[in-house]
Formats: sequence, structure tokens, C-alpha cells
Amino acid sequence: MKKIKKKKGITSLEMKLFPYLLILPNLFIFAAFIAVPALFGAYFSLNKWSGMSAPVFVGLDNYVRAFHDVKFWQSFGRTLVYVLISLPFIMGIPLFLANLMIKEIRAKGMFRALFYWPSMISYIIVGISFKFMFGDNTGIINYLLSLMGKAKVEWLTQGTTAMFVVILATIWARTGFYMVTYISGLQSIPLSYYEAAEVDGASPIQGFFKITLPLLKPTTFLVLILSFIDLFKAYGLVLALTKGGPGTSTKFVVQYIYEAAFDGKREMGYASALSMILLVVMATFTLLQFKANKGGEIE
Amino acid sequence: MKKILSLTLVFTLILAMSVGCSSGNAPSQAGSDGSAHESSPAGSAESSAEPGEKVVLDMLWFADGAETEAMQHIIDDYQALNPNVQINLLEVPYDEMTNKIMMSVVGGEPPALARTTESILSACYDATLDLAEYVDDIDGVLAQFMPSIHNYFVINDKVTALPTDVTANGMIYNKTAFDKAGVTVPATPDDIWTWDEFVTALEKVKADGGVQFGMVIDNPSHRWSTMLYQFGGHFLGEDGPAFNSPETIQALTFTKELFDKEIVPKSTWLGGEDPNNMFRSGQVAVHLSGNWMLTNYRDNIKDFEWGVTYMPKAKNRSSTPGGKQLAAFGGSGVEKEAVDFILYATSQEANAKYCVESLFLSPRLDNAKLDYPFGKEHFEVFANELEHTVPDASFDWGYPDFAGVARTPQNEGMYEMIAGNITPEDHAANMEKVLEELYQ
Repeated sequence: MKKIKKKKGITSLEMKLFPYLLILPNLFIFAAFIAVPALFGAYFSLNKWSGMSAPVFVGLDNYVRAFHDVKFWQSFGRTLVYVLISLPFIMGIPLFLANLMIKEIRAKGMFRALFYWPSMISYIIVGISFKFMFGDNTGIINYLLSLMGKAKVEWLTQGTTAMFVVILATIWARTGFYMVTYISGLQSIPLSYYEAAEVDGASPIQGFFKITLPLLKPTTFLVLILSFIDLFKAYGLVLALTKGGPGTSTKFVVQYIYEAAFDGKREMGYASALSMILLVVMATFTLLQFKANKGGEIE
Repeated sequence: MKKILSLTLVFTLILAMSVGCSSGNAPSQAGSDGSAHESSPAGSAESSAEPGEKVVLDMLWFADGAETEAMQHIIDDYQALNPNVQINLLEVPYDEMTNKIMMSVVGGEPPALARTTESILSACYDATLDLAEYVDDIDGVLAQFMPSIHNYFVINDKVTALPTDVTANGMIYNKTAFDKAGVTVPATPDDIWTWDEFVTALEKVKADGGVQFGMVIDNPSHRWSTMLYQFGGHFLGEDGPAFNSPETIQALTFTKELFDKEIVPKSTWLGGEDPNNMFRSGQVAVHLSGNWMLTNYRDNIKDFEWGVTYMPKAKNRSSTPGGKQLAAFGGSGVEKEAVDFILYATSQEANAKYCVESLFLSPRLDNAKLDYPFGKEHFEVFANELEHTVPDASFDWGYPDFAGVARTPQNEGMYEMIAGNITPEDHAANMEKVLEELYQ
């Protein structure tokens, strides 16, 4: 008599374990490159350490010094100005473009690719490219102005114009990425809602404010958090474009921390304390945004 | 099947993690790139190579011009004499050099050798070997090099490296623009301009020579310090900072006027525009830089003629000396071989070959006259600038930790002064406070 082999199903234990197994590689990467270094950072923040000699435990001295470090808080203030000015543009322009890109227009794919392209370019390359464009004496824009008989603009040697160029470069570099995020959010809104609204006599603008924006809230919240953190960490683009100048006009907080650690006196312990403060401030802002937006839930 | 699959997955992951985590426990080897060294495990005090066994030395290297090829020739010669030694040149951008050395040392895999400057040594001298412990007659070796640059590599009585070349800050000018404007540069040290005469000449070249600007200065720290020494100022004294002096304030005020009159473009210091590029593109009459730019300009300037001229004087004539060295690091496991190579590379014959090929000035007293294939007249000007350099210059830049402590505040203070946010007096006073830290 032929035995029929009983097919064994997946046990409940396997069902529980399997998702954890799948996130294990990412967990390993997260632990190796983020969590463990962060723990080391927390430890070094309590030490005086140049990176070469043995760390010397100094307790909270680095934190006390940081709270009295005027230059650190000035760079923090500049970063905040940069974030607050850039954020509305970095959220608004991609949303506007995403609205256009979901409509049935000619060469839609080409436009999507064109707008997305800059976000694939390294920040360093973006910075160098904008420097080629906005350089006072070697930039294309001033050259074109001179051909038109106009006076050259000191784009990168005046604090205000340099900040403007940095913000412009940031918006150009990040718009494509957030546009794609918004497109996926917009495409998940059922068309029937708009059709029903149209039947009820709602205008397109009313449709946008009454249907699109409320239903897009989870995506908007995601873009808000991602762009906020991204902007606060700005470093590569600014370094390549202005090196934090003129003077310290565009020196943001991450550059200040980097210089504390790797330039000049190489105060790794102090720089670690500054990083911890930045971490706490960013976590607090994110938490406040989370609370204010109710975690991006649709009401 | 699914169970087998999931078990295989778990096993693979655990294996991968354990391999990843255990790499730190594997016997580490000398060198910084993880390359296999059949001998000398890290941590051994000196070479553990058996006779005839292959020894591999990693040398971290940065380059300004043609010196990589020249050093490779020295390495080839050394390897021919020592077949059991292999030296790998690992190129690192200059800006990353200090960090690369520090990270290698902290990571327990220090390089056997590294090319250094006084700034790099100022940050890393704790990790270098004291060559005095490896060389019997270290005083005899040191006596072979220019005494004025000893404090660039002898730090706190530790011989941290030996010099391969010496640099002199100086002025490279756009000969075509000067000729067009009918301005003749000083031909001998007897004809040297004062700074006021020099500015008048630059204004004429700017007006009639087809250039937009009179001069560019590489940076507000090392390169600008040349002007400071010429005006009679300096950063440090024996017992404390000496920056806040009438001479310094005069140098600062004069510098600010150069920017305000648009003789020097603000965009180079404030807007990040590259002085080299501006000079190379023919927009500027004079570049205050140094002899290391010669190969770069020889290879890249095709549109106009250029030359080297004597720098103007104020109270003094002076350049700011600099240079590059070779250092060896403790814990590489190949210390003896590394020191042996340094001694070879800085010996008279090898160093002469290296300097001639690279178009560098030799730091060796017995290599003062070298037969350069290009620009002999340029080297004579730079050598003359070095001869007339005030002792304060090498005292400042060779002072332990000076570059690390002073460079960033000096740069930022100068930027603020040029932008008009602070006065020269403010900057001098601010720097004086910064420099006090060096004496604590």
C-alpha cells in the first residue's frame, strides 16, 4: 500500500519568526553603522579625546562647554533659518509638480525623469555645479550678465546671496525625490472622490483643498519629517558650494561639528557631545511634528 | 521545504554576522589597506620578518604635481636593492590625509609610512616613531638638513620624520600681462619693490595688461603669513602670543585695503573661487603661492607666458618655508624597514633624483645646487626668498599644535575682517586669545 506523505504546513512559530528573519540583515546594518557608533558617540561625549591618545573621562564638561559655545549656537541658528526657508519650498514645489505629473500630458515620462534626475546626483556634484554657475568671477551667470551689459552680482561673497544660492541648490537637488513620493500618494487617492465632488459642483481648487490635501496627509507628514531631517543634516552640498562662507554665513551645524572633530584641535569628545545635542534637538522636533500631525493620520 | 529554506537563511545570516564580527579578532597585519603581509603581525614592536621573507610596506601619499611618479622611481630603486621589500603607494587627497592616518592608527592598522606636512605632523606626532630610537647618529642625520626647518619635524624633542623637500612661498606672475602694461618686474634682489611700489605696478597691469585683478593669495593662514613676516609681525613669541602688535595690525590693514581696492578679488577668500584657476585662466596678474605650483603651471598654462619674481618687502624680506616629510608609525610591525626606507629616500643621491624629477627644492644642505631640467631661474628666486626668510616664520609654523589651533580661527577672522564685520584690531586681539592656549 502506497503511503501518502502528509504535507506539513508552516507552524505558528515559523510565522512569527519569519518577518524578524527578513529584517535581520537590515538590523545588522543598522546596528553596525548607526546604533553602535551612536553608542560610542555617547561614550566619547563624556571624554576628552583627540582621536589618537587615550580618552580621559570628563563627565558632563563637554555638554557644559557646548551650552556656552556661542559659535555653535550661531551655526545652529543659521541652520534653523536655512531649514525654515527651504522647507516650504521643498514641500510645495514637489507637490505642485506631482499634481501636474499625474495628469494626462504629453511626454509625462520624460518630464518625470527630468525632474527626478537631480535627486540622483551627489550633493557634492550639485554644489560644484552651482559654484560653476554662481561663481563671482568664473560663474556662467555673471558672464551672461556681463554680456547683457549688467553689473555682476556677488553671489557667493555676500552672506545673504550665498544663503539664497545654497537654498536654491538644495531645492533643485531634492525636488525630484519628494515629487515621486507625492506622486505615489496622489495616485492612491481614488478618482471616484473627485468625480463625486465634481458632480456636487466643487471646483478643482476646492477638490485640491477638500480631498487631495486631507487624503495626502500621511505622505505630507512623511515628506515633512524626511526633508526636515535632511535639511538639518546639510553638509556636502554647502561644503562644495561655499565651504560655509563667506565668513561663516552658511556654516551650518553639521559642518561646525565636523570641524570640531576633524579640523584644528581635533576635539572628538567635544564634537561627540555636540552631535548628541543635535540628535536630541532633532528628535524633539520630530516628536513635536508627530504629535502636531497626529502621526500623519487621516482625520 | 520552507523549513529547510528558513533554516538555511538563519544559518547563513548567523554565519555572515559571526564572520563580520570576528574580523576584528583576526591577526591584523601591517599596513592600512588590509593587504596581505606575509610577515610582521601588528603589535610586534619591530620587524618580525624572517630573512628572505617578503615584507610589504604601505605608504600613504598625497600629491601636488609630478612627485608621485618621482617617488615611485625612488621606490623602484629601493626595491631593486632590497628584493624582499615591497612598498605600496596609496594615494589619499591631502585634505583627508590627517584623518586617514588617525583612523588607521585608532583602528589598529597604522600605515608603515606616510607623507606629511608640518600640519599633519602637528596632529599625528603622537603616533609616529621617534627616529632617534632607530638611528645611531641622529644628530649627524639632522645636520644634513637645513636647520631652519628642523622644528617642522622635531617636535617636543622627538624626531617624528625626515624631510623630502622644502617649499618656499613666492610670487608667480603673468609675464604677458606685465609686458602688455609695460611694467618690468625686479630682475635681481637689489631691485625689489616695496609693497606700495608693488601695488602701484599691479594697478597699472590691471588697467593696461588685460587682467581683471592684480593678485590672488592662496589662503589667509600659511600663504598670507608671508605678508605678516614681511611687515615685521609674527604669531608667536618665546613666552606667549605676539600677534597683537602694531606690525601685525599694519599687515592686516594693508591686506584689507588690497581687497577693498579690488586688487585682490574677495571671491577667492569669501566666495570659494580657486586662486589657481583664476591665475591659470589669465584673469590675474600675480599669484602669491609657492614653488610647488611650477609643474602645474608648466603643464597647464598655454595661453600666456608666466614667470617667477621676487616678493616685495616692507620692514623685512621674507618667505614662509614649508615642506613635506616621510614619517613612520609605531605598531605597523615593519618599523625597521620603514625607517630604513626613510633614510634611503632622504639620502643625498635619492633625494636629488626625487627633487629634480618633481621640480622641488631639496632640504639637504648638500643638494643646494641641483640641475633642474626646467625653470632653473625660477628656483634661484625661490631659493633666494628662503635665504631671506625671517626666523619667526619657521618658529611659528613649527610650534607644536600651532597649525591645529591657529589655522581655522585665523582663516575665519580674516574672512570676517575682509567682509568688514570686524576691524584688523579686533582680529589681532581675538587671535591673541586663541594663541594663548598653546602656552597653557
